[in-house]
Amino acid sequence: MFHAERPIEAAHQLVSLPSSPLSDSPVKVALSLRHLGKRYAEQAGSSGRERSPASLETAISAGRPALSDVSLDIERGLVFGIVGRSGAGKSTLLRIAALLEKPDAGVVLYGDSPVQGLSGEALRRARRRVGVVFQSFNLFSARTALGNVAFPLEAAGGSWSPGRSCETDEVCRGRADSRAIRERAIELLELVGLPDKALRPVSRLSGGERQRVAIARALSLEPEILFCDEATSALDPETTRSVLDLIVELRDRLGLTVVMVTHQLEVVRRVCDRVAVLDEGVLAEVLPAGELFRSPSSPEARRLVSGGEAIDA
Amino acid sequence: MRELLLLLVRPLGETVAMIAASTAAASLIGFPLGILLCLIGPGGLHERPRLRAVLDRVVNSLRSFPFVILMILLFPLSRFLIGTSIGTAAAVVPLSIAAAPFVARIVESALADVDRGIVEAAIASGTTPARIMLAILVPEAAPALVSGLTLTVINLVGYSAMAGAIGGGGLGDLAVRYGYQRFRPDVMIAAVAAILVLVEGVQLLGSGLSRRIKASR
Repeated sequence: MFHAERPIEAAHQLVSLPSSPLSDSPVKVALSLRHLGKRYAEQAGSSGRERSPASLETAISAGRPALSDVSLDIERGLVFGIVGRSGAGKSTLLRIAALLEKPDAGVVLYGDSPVQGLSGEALRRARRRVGVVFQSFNLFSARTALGNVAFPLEAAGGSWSPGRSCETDEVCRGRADSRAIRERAIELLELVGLPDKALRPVSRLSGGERQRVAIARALSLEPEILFCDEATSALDPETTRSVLDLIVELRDRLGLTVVMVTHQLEVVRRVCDRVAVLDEGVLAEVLPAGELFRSPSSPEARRLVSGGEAIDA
Repeated sequence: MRELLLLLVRPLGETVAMIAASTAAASLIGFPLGILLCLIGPGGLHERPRLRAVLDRVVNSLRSFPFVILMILLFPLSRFLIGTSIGTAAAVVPLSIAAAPFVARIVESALADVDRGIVEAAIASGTTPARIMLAILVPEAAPALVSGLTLTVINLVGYSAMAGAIGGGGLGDLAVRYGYQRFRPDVMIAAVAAILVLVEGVQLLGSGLSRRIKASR
């Protein structure tokens, strides 16, 4: 299996290691996936929680493995891309890593703590360590931009307080009050460049603005990892670029690790440090993003790059 | 004409009171039940297949019960709760019990129709099912909930006329006793017209409110 343990070569300069408190810790790997296996559900509707948005895709390929024996280590501070044809299992991989779906086999670790197989409050606590951004934004339409960003903060209540992420901290047991939540939500909207849109209903925002709100919401609990599931696929090229630049900027400022699934090679070219190529649920290759375009070694990567350029050009 | 209008006043008041009280009672039972059905249902935030199967059975049998028979079967309950099985207050009991499972189904389906992606975003933020339900799903489903409640009220207008016919008072009672038994087609027409106006008014109010909620987003 391919591991992303090697130091990054080409993309090295791009990675300005962030001044986050996390970077002092000896653990260099933000996310480890070990021997993940997953079969598509035998029939759609067996369990709604397992149903991915690509349910048509799932229905067609029922019973066939979506992932087989995928192992990956993703270093802290990277923007890590996952590419592949549709149906290659990249979304499934991300959803398992983000704890939205359970693998049939294998282990997921955030840092050095295993997080798969959890339930109840332990699962919710693990989910609060990561943020997820979706292709269709998935904003709460009954809430304003501010209300969207505030929701995770309100919900985390006792385990969140201004200025710190509290996993074990005794000091931050007290409930975060609504003013602190509001201030923090406004701060987050400023971070994504939308301080003046705070009180707008989300339906009155443009696509790019909506995705920025979604990013602010995903970052509200100061996650270690930001997962982006085709986050820019619904946006026009110019908005895509500005959202991607924002993600890189946030990575630099907050010391995030970003994992993005995409079918747009342009995205990989622009922001990814490393990239994993998936082919029918199997990891074909993990390589520095620059090399994907210069010297892809696996047939799937070569196919992707040549085929992709024909469409993207 | 004046006599006709005077004749309408009391039954109209009774019908409105009957509907208001039974809508309130049915919602009080139906809302939590619908929320529970959605939470524990397939694909719900807290799946409990066996409990769900039991509740499903109960709700379905109550819903498929012919109202006239339900009313008669519930006479003892009305007598126990209200002290009598005749009259407007007594009719509220069967009306509420007939409408509650309907409300539950409406609430359940309104909540289940909320975009799956929105639910997933809430799940991803590490929030408890109860909180996702109350802070996200219920507000997201608000327009559908209002439409569903409107439908409930309109159904109750129909049921209340039936309840009226067997001793519950109200417009249905008026139509039967005066219009039919005393051969007064003018009273019959007036009673039916009043019911139509009532239904139309409720529908307008409900659609308007639902539209207002949608427009504010």
